[in-house]
Amino acid sequence: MKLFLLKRLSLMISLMFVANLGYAETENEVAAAAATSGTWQGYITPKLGYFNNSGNAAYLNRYNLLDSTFSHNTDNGFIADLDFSLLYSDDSGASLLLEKEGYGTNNQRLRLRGINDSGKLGAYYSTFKSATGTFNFQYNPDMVVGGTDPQYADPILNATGKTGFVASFNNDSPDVLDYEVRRSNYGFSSILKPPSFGDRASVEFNFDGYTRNGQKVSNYVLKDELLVSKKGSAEPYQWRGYANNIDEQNSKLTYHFNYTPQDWFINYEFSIDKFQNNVLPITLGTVQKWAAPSLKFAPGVDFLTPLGFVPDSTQYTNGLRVSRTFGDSAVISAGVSYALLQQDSYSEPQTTLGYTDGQTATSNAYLTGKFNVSPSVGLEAFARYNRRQNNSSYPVAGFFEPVSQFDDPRMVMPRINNYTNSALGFEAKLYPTVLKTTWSAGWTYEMKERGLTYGVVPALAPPIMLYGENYSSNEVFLKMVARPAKGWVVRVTPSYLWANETGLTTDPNQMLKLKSSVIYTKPAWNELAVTGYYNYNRKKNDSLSYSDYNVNPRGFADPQNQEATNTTQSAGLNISLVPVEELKLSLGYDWNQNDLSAYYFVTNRLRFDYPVVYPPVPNPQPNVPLDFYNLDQFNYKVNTHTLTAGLEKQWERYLFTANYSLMLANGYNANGLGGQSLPGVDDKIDYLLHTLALGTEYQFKKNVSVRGVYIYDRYEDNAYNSLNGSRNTLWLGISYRL
Amino acid sequence: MSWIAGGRNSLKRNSHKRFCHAIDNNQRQFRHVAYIVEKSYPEDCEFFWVRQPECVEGMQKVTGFSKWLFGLMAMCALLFSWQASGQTAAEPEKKAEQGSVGELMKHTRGKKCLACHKGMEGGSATAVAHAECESCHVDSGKDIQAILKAGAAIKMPKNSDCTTCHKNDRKLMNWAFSAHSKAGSSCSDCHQIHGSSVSKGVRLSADKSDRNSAMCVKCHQDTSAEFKMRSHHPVQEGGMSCTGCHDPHGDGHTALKSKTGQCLECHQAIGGPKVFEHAPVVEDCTNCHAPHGSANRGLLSTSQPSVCLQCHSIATGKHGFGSDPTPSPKANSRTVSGSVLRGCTNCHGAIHGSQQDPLLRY
Repeated sequence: MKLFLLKRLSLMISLMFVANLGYAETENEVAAAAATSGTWQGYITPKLGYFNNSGNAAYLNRYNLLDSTFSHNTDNGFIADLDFSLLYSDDSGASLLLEKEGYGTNNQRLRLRGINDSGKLGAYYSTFKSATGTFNFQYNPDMVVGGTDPQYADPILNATGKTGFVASFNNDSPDVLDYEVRRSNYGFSSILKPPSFGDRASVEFNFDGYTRNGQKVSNYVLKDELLVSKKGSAEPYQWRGYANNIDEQNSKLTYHFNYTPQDWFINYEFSIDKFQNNVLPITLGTVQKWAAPSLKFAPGVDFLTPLGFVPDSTQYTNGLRVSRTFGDSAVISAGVSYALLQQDSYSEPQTTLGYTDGQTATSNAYLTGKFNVSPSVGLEAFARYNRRQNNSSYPVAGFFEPVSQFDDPRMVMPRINNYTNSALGFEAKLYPTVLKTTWSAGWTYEMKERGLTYGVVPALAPPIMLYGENYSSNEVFLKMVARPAKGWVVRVTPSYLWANETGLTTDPNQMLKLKSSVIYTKPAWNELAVTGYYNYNRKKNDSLSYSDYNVNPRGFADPQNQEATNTTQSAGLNISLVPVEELKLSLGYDWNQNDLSAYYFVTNRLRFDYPVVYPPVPNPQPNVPLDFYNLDQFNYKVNTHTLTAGLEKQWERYLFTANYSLMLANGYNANGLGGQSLPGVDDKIDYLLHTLALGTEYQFKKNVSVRGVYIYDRYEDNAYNSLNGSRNTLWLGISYRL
Repeated sequence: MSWIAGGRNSLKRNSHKRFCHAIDNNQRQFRHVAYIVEKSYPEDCEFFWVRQPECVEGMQKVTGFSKWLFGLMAMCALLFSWQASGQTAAEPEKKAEQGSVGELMKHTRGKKCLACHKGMEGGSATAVAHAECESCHVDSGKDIQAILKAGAAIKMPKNSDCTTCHKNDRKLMNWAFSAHSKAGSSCSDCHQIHGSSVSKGVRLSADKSDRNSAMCVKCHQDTSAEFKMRSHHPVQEGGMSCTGCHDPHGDGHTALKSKTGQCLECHQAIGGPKVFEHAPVVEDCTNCHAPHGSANRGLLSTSQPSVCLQCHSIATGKHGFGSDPTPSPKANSRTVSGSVLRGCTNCHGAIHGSQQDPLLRY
């Protein structure tokens, strides 16, 4: 009996102890839960990369500059990096996301984003290094095998000491031309929703900045006889360049105030955008120091002449937007903004001669409305206005003035005092239930006005230039979105534009456009998805012309029209399907063609060197009439083809991926007389780019996986063989899941 | 007889979740909520309710105590539990007292739905912020239980449901006028509410584009092909994003910026102000450039000299072979060399405008 009671008593005490534990645990955990119950999830992936270039990898490196982490070698080496993507969240709905992705020191991005009931905040940083002007630098005269056209060095002309301006390129700077530039972007954003405003208002502060550091080639072409040899005779080589540093910084602070009372939305924006160029100004005097004593300038050269001067500037912007919704029946929106771009630093000549205010002011406004007249009829209208006003110092005697300066014309082109671009349009939509097709028809009117001041003499002015003051056009369009059968969606949008007058050759006076796409999906059949598209755009301008000018007898000869026609087409077909479970396939083909033809006009003399007033003012130049000649009609035409194929296979703990893309382009830059004189590397476009990527993932454990990818790139240029090259890249990483 | 409800693995989980919050403090009784017994106990389910009879049977099987000792134990546990619950679980208790399913759902943040709809919880900040399933999938004022009992389908949210909460989002201010809206795109076409934004490192392809851009090219395949051309903005290399230039929620008609102004956000060195300006640069960068991609250098839509010759004539007196400044009467008397035609900007380097030279050379 006693043993029986002892057992039961022990059991009771045990139960009471357990219950106490539960109580204590409950108290602590609930207390903790009352504070936060946050969880972390995400991945951390240390990784190691290896790359190896062969041939000339400059093309492949133009956007993918890889530097070895351990040896600063750009040809081959290892790169160590760390990627992570981490999300913290708690039961209140608050979250914090922190992620980084990197590929060595030249390609990094970091992002932070936090959300809770009081608002949002975000931050980002990225750095990206690329070739200056991407692969354009490869075509710089000092990079091309053979330099400039040797035929240009005419032996007869050599005897006179004048071989023209473009016989040879000369690097006058002591620096090696290093064609790289690094851009780093960084920023911070926050959205605050003060409780006192309820849900109706918020305030945003954004900071965005970037820095650019690197180098580029800058060139300067001197006038005749500014360079002299040691003996004092005119130096023929006038085409000169130097290594120009890039050191820029930009900072932009933006403030938004948003208020949404009932059906209104009001947004006010203010921003300050500060640009700073930290490179010391380079002048002809700088070049003289570099190049002396081999390079000697003739007397009278202004050594304060700045080369490639980039000033500091600040832009202030104010903007107000208002939008109102009228239930489901209508919404109207309007906005207006004013921006002032102010030049903050000036070159020596600018300051000396009184050009002390560089400023442009830009005004923008829009008004747009959308109206649902009935469930099947909708209307939309818009009006848009943009005006750019040039408020810079003008005129500035001796520097920038519409006064004849035969020895040194200072106002060759007209001064653009203002530029206004406005448009208005209307669109009607029909949503009939028949055929499940939506129809839209619309019209747009666009106008451009250019306020110009022409130089007096000598200067360019109509009709000896293809630049006018006015442009106005009308465009009509039709949109159709049809669902003719299950799984099908067809979109077609043709449009036609005609202009009453044009002011630039790139302004079309006729344009025909067509955009079309077809989508077919059949999930039941291997999850098939097919998309196809075809786009066509043909624009033409034949309304601008040149005229010869004869002093005796005065007047202009019959005009000769420029006729520029540009046709672009693109088409593509892409298929994706899942033929068996855990296997995905994709295949795609895209084609693009650009075809431009225009007349190749030449003149016998510089147009601005010729007097266009009668009687002509004294002109040291021989009084030879200005003559235009239509030498040829050139044509630029390039076809680009892209083929892509992809595969993804899941097998037990493995995931295999394979992707291949082939891009090839061929065509010519200019045929006819223009093209015949082009050096081989510039005459045509003919290249291939292969990219093959093989990837694997092995799920080692539930929260650990090993991932790797091998990438092979191969570039072949049949027009410029020295650009041929290939690169092998391998990345391996271990991904830990939290 | 009433029992404490608890999870299968209740000893491993937070204690406060072990206990049914439907406690009536006044009556000091437990209140059970019906549980669909046909469903098996999901592993992740932290909160389930057990019907009384089965609970009793289960408890009798599990413990095997005789009735009198069982009662004594239960009374002891009851006393301690009541004491704990009453002191620490005030908030859940209050919510439970209200009794509505919506309140319970809010408290659990959608976990009941996740019991069956696995994978919907997602791993993104968006998923966390949208964790109350009924806020999107149940019309306001309706009871989800009633919907389930009626066998009706839970609704799929439309754009108007999204904008009900996101009505104060500045980026959506002009959504009605945007090209995406007019094309019939829905919010879920681009925004993954349930998806995961946390990503594993080491991509298994050569593409390094950011998440936004990878989404854009799924529909904009023609643009994707342009980015593969040999001169392109570095989107697929990860140097920038589609959203760096484009506003996916907006439209050109509602932009308070000129076409050139958009480009100058990043290319401010070109913005000037300039003393000597180049007309097509002032008006629209796309007069000469194809911003997505081009087969030509410098993102030019057509290469030099073609892009220049459509607007400019060439003075053979200056650019021609053996340039003697004395002009010839005829324009075609001198040949222009290929080394001139190959690159106008080789000499006219300040092609976007100059602070000094009216001929835009420097």
